[in-house]
Amino acid sequence: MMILSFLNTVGASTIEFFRYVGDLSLFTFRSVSCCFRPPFYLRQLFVQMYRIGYLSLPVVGLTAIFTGMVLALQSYTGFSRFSAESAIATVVVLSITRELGPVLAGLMVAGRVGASMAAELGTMRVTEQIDALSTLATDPYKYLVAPRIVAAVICLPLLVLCADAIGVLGGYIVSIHKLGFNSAIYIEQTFQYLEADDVISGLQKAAIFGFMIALMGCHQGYRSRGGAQGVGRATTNAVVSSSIAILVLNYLLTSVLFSK
Amino acid sequence: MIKNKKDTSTKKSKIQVIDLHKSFGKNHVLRGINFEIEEGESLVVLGGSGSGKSVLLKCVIGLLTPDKGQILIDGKDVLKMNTRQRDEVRHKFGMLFQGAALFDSLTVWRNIGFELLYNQKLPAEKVQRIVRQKLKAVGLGDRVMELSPAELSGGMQKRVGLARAIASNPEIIFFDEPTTGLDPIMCGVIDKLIVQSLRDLNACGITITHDIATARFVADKIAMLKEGKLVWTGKSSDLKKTKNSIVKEFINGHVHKTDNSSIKASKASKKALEVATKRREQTK
Repeated sequence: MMILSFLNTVGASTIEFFRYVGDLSLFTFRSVSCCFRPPFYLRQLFVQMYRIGYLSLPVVGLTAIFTGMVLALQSYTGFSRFSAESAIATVVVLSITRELGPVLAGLMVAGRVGASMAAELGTMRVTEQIDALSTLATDPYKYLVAPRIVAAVICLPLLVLCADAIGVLGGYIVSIHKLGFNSAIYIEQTFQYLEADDVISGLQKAAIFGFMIALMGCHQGYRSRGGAQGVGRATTNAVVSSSIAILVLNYLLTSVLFSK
Repeated sequence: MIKNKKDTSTKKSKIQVIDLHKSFGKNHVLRGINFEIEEGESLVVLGGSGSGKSVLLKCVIGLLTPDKGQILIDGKDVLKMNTRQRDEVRHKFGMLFQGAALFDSLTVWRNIGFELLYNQKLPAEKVQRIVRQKLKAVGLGDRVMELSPAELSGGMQKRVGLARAIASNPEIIFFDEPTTGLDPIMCGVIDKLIVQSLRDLNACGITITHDIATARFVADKIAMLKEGKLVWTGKSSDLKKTKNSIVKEFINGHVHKTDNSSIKASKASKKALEVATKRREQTK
């Protein structure tokens, strides 16, 4: 009986996993196809760009500036042991643009925007607002999902660009005012080894992270069931799944595309 | 299987549902539904909780896909249509949801004029003019236009929901439990508005409810749904006279002697209550 019960649990979990993967694949396909097919709801797109981009700027900026500051301090602690302080500016700018900018901005936006999307769509689902859209001859994928995905794909790279600049500024402030670096030399060293590809690779990652955040948030919200509890579960799942997706994709993208 | 008597008038069939089946896993919710509604006719589907009313409505609107059967709107089977054709059919629909289902993120006038504004792409001034007319038709003034749905009372939300349902002058209007959760006076107001809207637009309506008063007031024709089957269909005036035990039981709120499942459930809950009371007394 124990073995049967165990097998039953394993079987049910496996079926549930493949059901989820299949459902997510279909949702992704339909959502992406709706991004390219009219009608386009531009008002919705601008509202989402404002919410995802502009309103996320403070939290992303704060994360970036403190990360840049800590990075400069930690690099100094390590590099001063073998008299390589001159590499701090390069380490800060490369770390921020290639890695920390996109990942930290992605995680912060996943927490802020992913949760909000799941909660909003989840509430719309349980209060029949999504059904109401259908009865008004409006495709909910085109009206709700597509603008969120497009807005996230556009806004995340812009946010990361801001995060890069603010993070480097954080490193500069600490290096000049606390560690006693010369301002002109630090700025020169910052740009000496920085290549356009370093920044572009980070922006490419950001666009993909933006897509994942919006997709997971919308999928969890759109499929939520069971009232307030279901919406709460969808919100948690959206943040957890998009955060994990960001971390996994970050490794895959770095190892496959940008490790040259 | 119940089929309605066709009269000899020249009225065209607007909606025809033929042998409709819908299951969720092992739960067979709809078990062969058949009915027909003519132009300008109002059908009320009565039934208790869990009888399949909402599923039937969602299948007809196209929010759920039935497992088997046909749904003909103006003689065309919507289940065989592609997405674009279905969207065209949906332009003929208006729907009042149980909880009004107004969009929280939009103002009242954008809610009411949603289809005109976003699908028909009419200019905002024209839409606002139409919205004012529709608000007047449901007994609300201009002052609510810029409010958000959260600022309205339950009754006002229902009226705004009705205004949205009739905004694009639909040919078919669906009402999902229109009076649930409202006080008796507001129920009467909504009932009158439903009849008036259907008459003004010469639209046909499908209302699902368990409210007998609403059914009598709104319906030309009433169908009784029980356990996924239409067990009685007749004119509104026939409801009182019917000898159908299930309908009588539903109207009077009694459990019929032959309804074993209800009796068993009632006996089981009585016994559970007795056990719980005994235990509580023992713990004292």
